Amino acid sequence: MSMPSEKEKVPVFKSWTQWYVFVLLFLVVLIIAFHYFTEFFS
Amino acid sequence: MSALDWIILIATLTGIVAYGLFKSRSSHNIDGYFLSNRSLPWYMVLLSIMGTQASAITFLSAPGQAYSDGMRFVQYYFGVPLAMIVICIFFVPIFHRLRVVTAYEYLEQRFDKKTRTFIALIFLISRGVSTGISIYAPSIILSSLLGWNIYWTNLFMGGLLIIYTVTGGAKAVAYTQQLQLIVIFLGLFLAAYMTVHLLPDGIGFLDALKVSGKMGRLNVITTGKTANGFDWNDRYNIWSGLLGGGFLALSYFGTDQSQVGRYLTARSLSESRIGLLMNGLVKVPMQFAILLIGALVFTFYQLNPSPVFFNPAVRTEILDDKAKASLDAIEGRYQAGSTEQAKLVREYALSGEDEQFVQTIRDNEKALEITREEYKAKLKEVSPATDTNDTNYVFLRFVIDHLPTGLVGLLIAVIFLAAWGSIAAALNSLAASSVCDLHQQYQKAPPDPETSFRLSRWYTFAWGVFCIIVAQFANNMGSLIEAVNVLGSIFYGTMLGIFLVAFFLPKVGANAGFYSAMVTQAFIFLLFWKTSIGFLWMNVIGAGFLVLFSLLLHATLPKRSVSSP
Repeated sequence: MSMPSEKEKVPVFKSWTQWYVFVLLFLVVLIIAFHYFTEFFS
Repeated sequence: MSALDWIILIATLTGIVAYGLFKSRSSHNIDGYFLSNRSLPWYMVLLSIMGTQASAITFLSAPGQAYSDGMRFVQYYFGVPLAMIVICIFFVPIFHRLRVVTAYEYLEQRFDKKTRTFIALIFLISRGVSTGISIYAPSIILSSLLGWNIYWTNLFMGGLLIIYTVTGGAKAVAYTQQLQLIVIFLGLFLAAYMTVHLLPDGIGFLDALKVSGKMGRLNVITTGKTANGFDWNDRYNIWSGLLGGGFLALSYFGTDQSQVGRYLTARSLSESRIGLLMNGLVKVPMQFAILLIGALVFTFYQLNPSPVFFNPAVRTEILDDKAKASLDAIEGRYQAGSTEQAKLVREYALSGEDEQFVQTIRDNEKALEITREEYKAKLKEVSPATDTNDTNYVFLRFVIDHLPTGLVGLLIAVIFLAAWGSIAAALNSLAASSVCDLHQQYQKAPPDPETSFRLSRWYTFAWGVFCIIVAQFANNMGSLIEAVNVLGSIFYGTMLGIFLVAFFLPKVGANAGFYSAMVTQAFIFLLFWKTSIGFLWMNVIGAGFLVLFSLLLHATLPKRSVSSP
């Protein structure tokens, strides 16, 4: 158990902002993929 | 159910209870019992968050939703990644810094005790009732399809998990959720595989998608636009998903103790954030996969004769001979049409593109749907109390009627385990809020750790009993996944609104916050009662109204208690 600190090391990316952008981009890619999926099979 | 199904079902459930008891050792204090001593790694946090959100209703209703309305329900989850980001930026650092046990503890530090009590009460009422529905929802479906007694099913659905939830607290909840999710994913993968495997010779996965798509069931993205402009009553489209779903997810993950209690078990702020962000990444694809199973089940029933009504128990309850004869006549017409449709769809799936042919099978499907509605109307006429919404029965009826022995037992176990995962977390959080936000706040002597620990166990047990009692009285709620979400939406706007004011409007004081929360809740009740606004919008309206009303009160009320987090 460790004490909470906002300066803890960010895993994988350099900053939390990069993590947030990654999650946002992933959502955008999913929506685009779903759009083409809908169009393709309709 | 065969003997093998029973063996698999009993072995799986007993195994989970035993594993929960094995993992039940926790420190005899509040932090140990409710937050697992804040010691869990991110992947345990992730699985616990997922296991808490994905109830049995998710796995029963979602495929049925795809069967009847297509896959557009997935848009409801588009707001989850957005909410995860907002929570990681604003909510989690504050909760970690203040080392709170419940989210509502922060409200006392920011506003005052009465605001904390009011919001905790809203949480306890809404979460307590919705957990009761979460017990009843899978129980009524299992009892209808398998002929089990509903009261005993409710008792097993909500009762067995109490054993390890009471003894082990948050730690036992998190570890059992991990194992439960493994079994759930295995069961769903096998169900999807078998659905494709059961398709007629020569028709594969892509052919099934082609049929499903042409019949409008792969409508993942919809805009809600109609000839008359935007349809505000349309529940699932990309905008209601991103905005309404986003606010609902923000309320649920940011202010509902059943979720806050999961990510506060993390060993550090980073582990909480990673757990939440990973949930934002996997939630939408997971729901997509579950809905796709529903779309495949739809294709299966396009290629094979389908039942006119998926809940057979309703039909057997009707004793009047004249009514039975007219229901049989409608069913006969439906079966003839369904058999003809199966022949045409097979022909289409095996042949190439032919728009005229597609139109014919679409018209046939519409005609079959009209016959289904006629059957439901007749059921309602002869038995007005009957719930004619059979959306939740589609998937399990398919499992029981068509999947092989052994897999049926495993999938019924999946339903139990999914229910247990979310109910166990709910009981743990209900007890946490009862003890920390109410009991300890209003008792005179400060409690010692051992007394608090024993009290927490008793509250967990008492909430378990309460939820089972609610389940025994629940009935006629239509699509149960929606019933839970509607219930959440009535209260979540207020809960989110007060947290938004607390975080972003530091000048708004305690009285303005408290009274605006009360007025907002009354306003949302009025909206729900008097209008037909889609439930997802209630969160946005509630949170927005509370923020504006608190600013208005702040401008008019005498300024006394002003504080910042």
